[in-house]
Amino acid sequence: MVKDEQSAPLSAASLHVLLALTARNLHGYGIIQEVKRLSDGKYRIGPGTLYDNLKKLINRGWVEDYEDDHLPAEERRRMYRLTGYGRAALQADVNRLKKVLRVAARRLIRSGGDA
Amino acid sequence: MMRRQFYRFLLRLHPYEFRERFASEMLWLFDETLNEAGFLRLCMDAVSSLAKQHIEPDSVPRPARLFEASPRGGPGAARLLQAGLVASLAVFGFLKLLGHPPTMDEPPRTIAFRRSQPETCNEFVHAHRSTGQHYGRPGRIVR
Repeated sequence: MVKDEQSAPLSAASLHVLLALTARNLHGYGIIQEVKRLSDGKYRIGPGTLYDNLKKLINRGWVEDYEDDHLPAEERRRMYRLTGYGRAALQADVNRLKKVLRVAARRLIRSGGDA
Repeated sequence: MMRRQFYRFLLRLHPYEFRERFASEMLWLFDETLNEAGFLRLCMDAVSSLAKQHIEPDSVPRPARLFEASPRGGPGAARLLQAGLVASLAVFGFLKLLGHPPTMDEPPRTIAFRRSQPETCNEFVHAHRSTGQHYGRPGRIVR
C-alpha cells in the first residue's frame, strides 16, 4: 500500500471526495450529497465515479472504510473516513492549487484582466 | 424494474474484486439517485467505471502492473523492454549455437566416478552387454 504517494495532481472527483470527508465520516450516498453541496450543485458524481475514486484512495491509504456498528443491521452502511495521509495529500494539492491561482491572477492582471 | 436489472447487469461486468467490494453499494446508490440523476446518466457513469476498472485495475500490485498493456492502448514501455529482452536472448542463443555446436563428450565428473569405482561401472556395462545394448562409448570405459 502506498500511503504518501502523490506524483500527479488529484482528479476533480478525488479532490471533491477528500474534501467531503474532511468534516466527518460519510457513507457513499453521504459523499455524493456532500460533493453536490460543496460545489453548489455544479459538480455531481455518480456511483461509478465515486467508487472508482474511493477504491484508488483506499489503495493509497488516504481513505479507510469501516462498518458502522451503531445502526441496525438493515440500515448499516459502509462508512469512509479520511486518514492522516489523505489529509496531507489534500493539503499538498490545495497548496499546489494556491500556486496555480497566484500565477493565474498575476498573468491575468498583466494581460489587462481584472483578477 | 427493468432499469435496475440493466444496471445490475452492468455491475456484473465489473472485475470480480471490485464487484465484491462495491457492487451492492453502487446498486443502493442507483436506487437513491435514479430520480435525481436520471437513468441514462447513471448508465453512462457505470459504463465509464466499467472501462476504467478493466483498463487500470488499481488493486493489482505495482510490479505486476509493469507488464500490463498501456492504458492508452499501445504497448507499454515495460512491455516493449520485456519483448526486447526476450528477442535479444533468443538471437544471442541462436548465434551462440551456430558458433559453437554443443559437444557430447563425457563430462569429467563421470570419468572421475568411473575411475574411483570401476567395479560398479563394470557390473553395469556387463549387464548391458549381455543384453546387447551399448551404453556410451565402449572405448573410453575404464576397466
